[in-house]
Amino acid sequence: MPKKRLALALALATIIGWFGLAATARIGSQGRAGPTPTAGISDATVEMHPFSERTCGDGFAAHPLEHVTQASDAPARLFDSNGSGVAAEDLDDNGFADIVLGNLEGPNTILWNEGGWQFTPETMQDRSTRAVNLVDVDADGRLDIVTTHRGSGVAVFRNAGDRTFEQLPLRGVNAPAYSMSWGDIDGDGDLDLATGSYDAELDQRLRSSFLFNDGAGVFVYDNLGGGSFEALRLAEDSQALATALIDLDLDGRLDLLVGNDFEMPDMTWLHTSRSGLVEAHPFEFTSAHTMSLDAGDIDNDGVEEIFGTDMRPASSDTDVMAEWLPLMETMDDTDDPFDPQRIRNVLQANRGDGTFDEVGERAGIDAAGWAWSGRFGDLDNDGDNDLYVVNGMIAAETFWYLDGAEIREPNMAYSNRGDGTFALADWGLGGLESGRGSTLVDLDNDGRLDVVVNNLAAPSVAYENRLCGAGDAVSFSLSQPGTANTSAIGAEVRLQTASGLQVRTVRSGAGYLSGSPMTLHFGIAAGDELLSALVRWPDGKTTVIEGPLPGHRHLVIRS
Amino acid sequence: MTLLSRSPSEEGASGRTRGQPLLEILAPAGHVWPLTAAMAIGLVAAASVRIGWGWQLWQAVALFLVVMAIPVAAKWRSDALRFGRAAAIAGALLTVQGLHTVEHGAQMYQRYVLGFSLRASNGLLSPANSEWVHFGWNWLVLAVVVYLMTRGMRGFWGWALFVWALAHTLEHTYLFVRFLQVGSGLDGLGVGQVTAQGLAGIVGEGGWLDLNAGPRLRFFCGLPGVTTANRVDAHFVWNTGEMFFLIPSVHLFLRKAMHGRSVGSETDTAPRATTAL
Repeated sequence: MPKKRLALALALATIIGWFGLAATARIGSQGRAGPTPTAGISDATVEMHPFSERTCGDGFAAHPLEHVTQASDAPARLFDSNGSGVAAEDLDDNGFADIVLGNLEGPNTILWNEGGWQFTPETMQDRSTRAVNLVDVDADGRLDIVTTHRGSGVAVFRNAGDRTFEQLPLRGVNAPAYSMSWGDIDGDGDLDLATGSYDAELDQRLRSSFLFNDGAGVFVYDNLGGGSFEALRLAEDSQALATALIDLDLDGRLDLLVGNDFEMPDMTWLHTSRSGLVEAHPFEFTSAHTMSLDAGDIDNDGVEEIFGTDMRPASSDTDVMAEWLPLMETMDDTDDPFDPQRIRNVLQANRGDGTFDEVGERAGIDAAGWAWSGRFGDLDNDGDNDLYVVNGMIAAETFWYLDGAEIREPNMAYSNRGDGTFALADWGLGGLESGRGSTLVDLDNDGRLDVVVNNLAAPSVAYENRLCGAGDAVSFSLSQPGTANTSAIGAEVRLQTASGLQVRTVRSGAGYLSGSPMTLHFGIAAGDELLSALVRWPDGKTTVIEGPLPGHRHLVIRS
Repeated sequence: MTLLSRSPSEEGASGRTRGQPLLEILAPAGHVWPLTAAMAIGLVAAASVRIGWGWQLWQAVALFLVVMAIPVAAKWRSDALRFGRAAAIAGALLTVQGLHTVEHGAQMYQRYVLGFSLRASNGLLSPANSEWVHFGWNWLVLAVVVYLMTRGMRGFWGWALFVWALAHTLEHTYLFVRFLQVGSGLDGLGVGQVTAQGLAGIVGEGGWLDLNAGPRLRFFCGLPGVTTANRVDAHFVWNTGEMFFLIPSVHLFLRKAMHGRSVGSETDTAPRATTAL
């Protein structure tokens, strides 16, 4: 009776999965259209773990964290005003995402997630930190902590696995770095690094030694293995608040996008098969002072849009305008009518041919205050990417006329309407602290994205997602054990549901100076049905998971 | 028996320019020499103070306008005598609104040809580019339009002009109120040296519609420029739009007036000669 046996096996697998025991899902295969030369089929096993029980409430509940990013002065002066990043992922393999918060004057903090919203703080022997990413640099299967610094470069703290870290030398990575992004840029299977310097800060901190130094700008470091890298300098100058590795021309290769401050044009290099990284200008308009970059598919067409933040008052209220106007006057002095840069957030919609339409105003997300980190994620589990933008500014030189020299603005949560536009959502995410880095991560394994914000001169905050709509969720953690890219950074999961397609990409970081969780989260609209999930691994090979289970995290381990 | 008839000069004028009342009202007529002389003097004086004494552009332009003021006023007074007060006011409105639109055209030139910043694109009379002036000016224009409507400048074009001028005036009223409110806020913050000049209004980039009503009024707000135009662009459109409606309105109004049909009360028409038969 083969049918009975099949039914029994399916039922058994479902029950096992439901109760959190490892179950092996049926793995299929499917070719992916496209020019990727190594496209093919890859086997994998899938372990499914159910999400924990949900706590329901009106929206998000704020949990102050035991960390304050401190500046050298109070109130902060430029460029301490720029604050630090944050990253969250499971570092001690206890099943909960831990939080690493960068700091400037004080030490960085690791908040070990013990579950139940209990965190054990531990300080790191690292400070003056800008960006924070969690990346398995040494390919030992454990995520390491990687940081950039004000006035200096990249540091890697190797994860020993027992909640201890030791600094790992990165031979050949020497240039000053403010923002960074990790990925297999050259397609050789290991993790390369792209960095950008923030020259205004270097000039301020190093003065003549910076002027006579020749080490700043945009660099790509080719991973040679064994902790050695070879540097390729792409630009001699940059004001790189954000660096992102995104496949802009949809050819399966990672391209490099650098978001610059101070009206310096953003920079793009496309990775071509013949010439490597080639400078390009795919954007008609960009933001003028790009503070952060993130990519996410907002319309579920299988192609990611790119969101860049800038400074623009979110409201025309009298008080808001009075606070902004003195600054706006100085900005206007440099206003050039022919400059393709706009002082507002931008949403770049890929036309499918590697060129972009800028649709930020149409989408209703062009003005979010003095915006720093902007991150995509399906916060309400309704099947499409929402957006969360943290904002605010403290600068003694610029806002001397304000209390604490601070513009206080509520962080902005935008709910995706599903028609390419966003609406401000009253989810309790409007913190007034001066947010800088942020990440969206499921801290309690309940299948909902929580939010962590690293505030400047105020306690960092974790916002617990208590939204209980009718939707569900599914998530995927990809693993390539035994390779040089164990977390499958650059891989993509295309989730096919009855109503359409959702796409997520594994990235080391996004937003402003912040890391991205390696676990990819998908919300599922009420009544929608999961059909399959196609994993496109960084080398272009694919794995198809038939019938992924809603309400479960899928650990996909490549064979 | 007494019949009402036109004065000889009016007869001649109407006869010469039948169908071209705009040219008639704008033509210097008997004021060619005073206007030409004033223009020449004004230009020489403006150029002299600008080049020789280093006056600013707006000061030189203001000097030119002052020199022109007396002959222009005389011309308008003459128009009132020839065509009636309402017709003369219509002609004057056309003239000054035209010059105002030229001022906005100059702002566009500064912005897009000379590459000035938005704030520096102030036109030829930069101190006059203030919310006070715009507010007062647009209410004055609206009042004149209403007056002319009561004197017969109605019909499609007249009403369209009224709607446009009303909307334009509301825009400047909103801007003026915001100017005062934000200015008060700036004073409260102790940054009195910054003015609230040049804020976005109801329309345009950063305007009320852009920030508040975009998703609800998607069609309207999706129209070109409604939520994207900068202030220079937006107000150039406002004023060229006003001219677009003003020209046909005044044309039709003057045609009626110059043909002796009713353009309002008897006192608004030119003096009539009486001929006894």
